[in-house]
Amino acid sequence: MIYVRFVFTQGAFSGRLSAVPRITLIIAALLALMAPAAFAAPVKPAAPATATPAEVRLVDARYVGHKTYPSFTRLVFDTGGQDPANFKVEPDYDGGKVVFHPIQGNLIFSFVPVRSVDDLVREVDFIQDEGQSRGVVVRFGLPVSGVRVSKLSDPARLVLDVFRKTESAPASPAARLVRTVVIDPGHGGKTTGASGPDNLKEKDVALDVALRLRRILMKQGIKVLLTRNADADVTPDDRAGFANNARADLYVSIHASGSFVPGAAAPTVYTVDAEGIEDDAAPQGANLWDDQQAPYMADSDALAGDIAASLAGLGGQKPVIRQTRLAGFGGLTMPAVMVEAGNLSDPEQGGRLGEDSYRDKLAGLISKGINDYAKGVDLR
Amino acid sequence: MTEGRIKNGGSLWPWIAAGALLAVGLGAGAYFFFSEAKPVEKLVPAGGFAEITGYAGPTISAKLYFPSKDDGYLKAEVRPVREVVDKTEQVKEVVGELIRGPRPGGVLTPSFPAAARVKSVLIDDKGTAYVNFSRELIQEHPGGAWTETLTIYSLVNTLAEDFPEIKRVKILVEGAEVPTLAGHIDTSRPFVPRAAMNRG
Repeated sequence: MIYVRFVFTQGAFSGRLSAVPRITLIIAALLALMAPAAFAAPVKPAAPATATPAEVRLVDARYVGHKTYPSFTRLVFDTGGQDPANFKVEPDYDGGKVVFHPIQGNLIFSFVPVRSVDDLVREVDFIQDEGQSRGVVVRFGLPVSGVRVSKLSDPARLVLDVFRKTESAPASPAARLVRTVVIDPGHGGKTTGASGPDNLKEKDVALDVALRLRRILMKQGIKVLLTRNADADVTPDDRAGFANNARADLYVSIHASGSFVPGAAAPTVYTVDAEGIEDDAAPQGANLWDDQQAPYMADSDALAGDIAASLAGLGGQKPVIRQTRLAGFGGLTMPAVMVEAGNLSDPEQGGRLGEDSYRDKLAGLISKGINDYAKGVDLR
Repeated sequence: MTEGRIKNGGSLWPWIAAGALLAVGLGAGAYFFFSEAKPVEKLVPAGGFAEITGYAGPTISAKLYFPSKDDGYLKAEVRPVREVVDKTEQVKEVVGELIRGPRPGGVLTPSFPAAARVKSVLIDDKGTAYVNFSRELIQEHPGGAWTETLTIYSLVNTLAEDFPEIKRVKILVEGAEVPTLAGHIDTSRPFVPRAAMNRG
């Protein structure tokens, strides 16, 4: 753009000043001095030098550290900015180890092997098989019931949760004990939540659906407690503390959604985001409040899957499962989900949330999801 | 008129001086315009922006992340934002554009209440940006766990994209920490950008 204007200006001057050779010479000399500066500089900043060698790609995976939980040990590896999806993880329970290696590229041996992690995980080391493929091996010190793999971004990490095998742990999915359920009606008091047609408030919808769900579950012989049974504001941590003190087997939070623009929303079941409950600044082994949910996340995912599958019975959009940093959920010591079925900001869905029949149907489908979870049906 | 004066033997030196100054100005302008030292690409203000804002001064090109109706995740809209010298004021300008919302007519939807304002910004030496909003951020927020999540990551991912020195964002309202914006998402600790929220 500037280049075009520049040439045009030069042309205008040269035409006008042709009768004055001295001026032409001076201007031309000045322009000649300035032009190289303008043309020598690149129009756009040079691309960052991120090119990798064409033949062999070197892959980094550094051991960051571990955290010991009652039922599992978490090992964290930094993949050096590489997509953690590029790593294949292969547990070998009989061999007492789990190995991971890059799918593409060669692994660099870039950390000092760790010979003593804790009683469950004996060591973290490198391994090189006959095909010269390099990997990282985690050797177990005790029997292991399973390894959960999380591939996280920002920063790129590979997280291995190695679960301790216990006498009572079933070898395959089976019935889960659901004796006490805490139902959490969202919002309350001054915290009204989303608003719908006819001054419908999310806090009132949530309490009403929670009461309907309580009736259904109590008929099945399940003990049900509510974090609030009146129009009262309760903090997220107080809700979690209440459920923990009740030694609840499940925690189900009932909400409705809201949005900036009207539009139908898919029924959504949330679990807490793993990234939301990790704190890099925490000292190793610290038992922080927000870490309490970590051992229950696999079961929270299973519960979310069962409830989402059941909510398909509402018709309309297919239910979805999402993870986010739910307030208070990090402190819960039981499988925990939040359910949002219906957008109050949408006239049609908001209207349905005001109907008794819809609320009954919603409570019935949530209870079916809880029952499926208790039966060990895994619909993730 | 000018031509005549030159032919009539008027002094040439003022014209020489003016021509030289113009050339120096153009040359220096071109040099700084193309220089690599410029952190962001300069743009001639787009018609829409200038017309809406009545502003035709220097701009930076900002990548703003808004929620998409298509999949419920974030998509980027690139557009000019008023350029200011001070870094924290520049952050305020960019967040102000986020609050203004996406260009109408597309698949993108707003992520902030229109009445919310950024009152102040502070960036500490560890790369944490403290963005202090007016109370309308909470009062006018429509709620919903995912809508709240999108508000947060539209802010965090935008600032991390446009300001490489910003590594995490802490949201404040009227100068104070808040537990949540609308009762769902924990805002008591800073957020790091979440690339998985960006889908284009």
